[in-house]
Amino acid sequence: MPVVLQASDNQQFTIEKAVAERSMLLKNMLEDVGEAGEPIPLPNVAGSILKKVIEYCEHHKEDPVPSAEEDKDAFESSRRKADDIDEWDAQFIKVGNEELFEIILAANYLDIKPLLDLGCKTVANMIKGKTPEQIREMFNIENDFTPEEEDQIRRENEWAADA
Amino acid sequence: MCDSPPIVMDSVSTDSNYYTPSYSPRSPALPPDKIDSCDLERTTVRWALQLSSDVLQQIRDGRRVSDGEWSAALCAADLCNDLWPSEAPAAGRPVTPAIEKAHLNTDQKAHPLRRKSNSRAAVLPPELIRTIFSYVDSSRSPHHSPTAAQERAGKQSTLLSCLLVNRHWYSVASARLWRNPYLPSLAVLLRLVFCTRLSSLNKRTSLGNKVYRLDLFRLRLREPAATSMLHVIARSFPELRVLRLDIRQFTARTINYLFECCRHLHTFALRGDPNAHTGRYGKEEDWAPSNVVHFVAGLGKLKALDLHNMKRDERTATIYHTVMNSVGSNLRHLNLGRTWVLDDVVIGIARRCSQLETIVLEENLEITDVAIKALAESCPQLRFVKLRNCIGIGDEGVTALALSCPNLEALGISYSRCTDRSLKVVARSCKNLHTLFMNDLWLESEDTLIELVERRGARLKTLGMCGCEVVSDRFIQAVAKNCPVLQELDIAGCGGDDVPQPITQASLEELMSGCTRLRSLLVNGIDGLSDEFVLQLSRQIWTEQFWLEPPEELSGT
Repeated sequence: MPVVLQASDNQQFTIEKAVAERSMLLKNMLEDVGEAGEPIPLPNVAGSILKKVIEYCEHHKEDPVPSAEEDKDAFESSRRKADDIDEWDAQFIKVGNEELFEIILAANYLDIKPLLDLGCKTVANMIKGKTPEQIREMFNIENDFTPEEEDQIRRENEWAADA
Repeated sequence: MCDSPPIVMDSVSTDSNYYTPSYSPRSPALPPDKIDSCDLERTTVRWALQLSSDVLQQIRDGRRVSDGEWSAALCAADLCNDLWPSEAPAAGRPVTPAIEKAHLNTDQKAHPLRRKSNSRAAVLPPELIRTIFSYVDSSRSPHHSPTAAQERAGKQSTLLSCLLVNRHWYSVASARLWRNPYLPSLAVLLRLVFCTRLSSLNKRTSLGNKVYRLDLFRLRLREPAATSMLHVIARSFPELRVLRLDIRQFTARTINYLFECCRHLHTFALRGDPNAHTGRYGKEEDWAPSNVVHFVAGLGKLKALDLHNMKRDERTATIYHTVMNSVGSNLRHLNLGRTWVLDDVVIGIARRCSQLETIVLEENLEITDVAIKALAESCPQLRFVKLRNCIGIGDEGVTALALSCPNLEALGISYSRCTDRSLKVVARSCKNLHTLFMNDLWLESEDTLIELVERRGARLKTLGMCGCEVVSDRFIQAVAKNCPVLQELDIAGCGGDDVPQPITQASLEELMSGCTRLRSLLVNGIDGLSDEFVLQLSRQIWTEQFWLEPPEELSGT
């Protein structure tokens, strides 16, 4: 039974149920609604981004759902690691910065944890070792501090600069 | 924030040269770079004097003094006052009021907000920024590896960059940066304290309230700075949850004051040898419960206590007595390794702390099975027990633990007197066991070990059993067959002349292919393995020594 998703720009996508169920939001919705066959409106996600998200879910539709037991395992999940990204994922997430944040927001909204993690890890890797100016430029963020505020913040946090 | 202080007489001073956008990581406001405990006093006083006299000179010359310079000089002078109340009059008292007065005269004007940017990254929901930072903050190497320090410093400077990106990022990054500051040297600790002061001066709420964990183990605070520094720490970071100290001398008053200021402490570690300079840390009765009421109240709230290496003798007996009678059912994790405590302390604590999950008693030569039996009886929740090198402990104690503590996951009985008898009970009863260290045990037969891996193999992740003479090829094959999730195996020096089937390379290869998650394997000192094979092995797998690490809760990480 296919599922129809409708993006914010009214673009429609017909996908397998197994693919849609990578999203916990859709999974729960489908359980509630049953099989009505009506398009599911996703007003927070643009068509171009939804297409990307579906591509990810298609690729990962066979992945096992991580069990609670594995989560608890102190040795396995020892620490969050930022650089253990699989090859396909690394290629997939090579997108423009603005698109990257759109994907993160969509993954958050649709509740697709592995994709959210992938996006956040990617951003984390990008900002590692960068200066504030480089980060602002990279992500097109405007500096909204007044010069005095910025000066004060630098002074108050200076201990961390050369630890 | 002032954009036109009253003392501006110099028209050259405009906003543009007041504010320097290029970031100099080491502004002149910071305390000196290299300090050790001995000259902490002198260098800090000299530095504060320098800042103060610079400011005074600028006032005299009619030059403009920036807001930052005011605050820095004021904080430095104040910090000196606190660190050396009676000994630094020149840096403290005469200067402070003058600066404070001038500072309070400055105008407070709000700046108009700049236009908000439209970028998605600029306004990402806080929880997503938090997730991103959690990956920035993630660590790749184990905490004891040589690269770990460098990594932590790098993470810290990345967080500092994030904090300066925009207001939105600031609020998330600053909480993360201050939560668990990384302090590799005394200079950085002094800077942290200084920055804390600066923030409370600027904001009236201190950034020090965001500090939850301070680990000062590596700083090894020593007198003359230790006591005054601890008082400053206690006042600066009242929200501390985790504090780890390594100080040689400490007085009851200081420790009591710490607990008076930091009422939310749940994890406390006190290392050092209070006897190194006998007599200087006060009298024995100072530690009586009625003299350290805040310490007593704090002990009752603790979840984790680490007194590793604090030797118990006639001088510290009162400390231990107070500890024993004050810890309570909140206590989950306890380290009394190398403390030379006797059975009475362990039994006393066991009776009061029925929720204990972790206990480290390594290298306490005089503890006996009586104490371990009391632990087993009173603390059925125990999950981690380390009795390494407790030569007074043997089968009776460990059998009691195995029978009474169904949650037991990690057990260290290396160099104890345990034999096949208790190991059999461990094999049959400890259904949750995943880590076992039993180096150099005197075992009669390999059958016990084989029974162990057959029964417990499905969960076993770490097995340390170097120097175990009864091990033969049969055991290696049993491990290969029964331990699918094994990650670390230490069989260095195993086997011996009397073993009928010595360990073979073929079985070890079988083990490597059977235990797909194996990442550490120690085989040095096993007879019959070629150098070439050992070398080849070291290219495929970690061959560094590993230890039984206490759970993270004990150190509050």
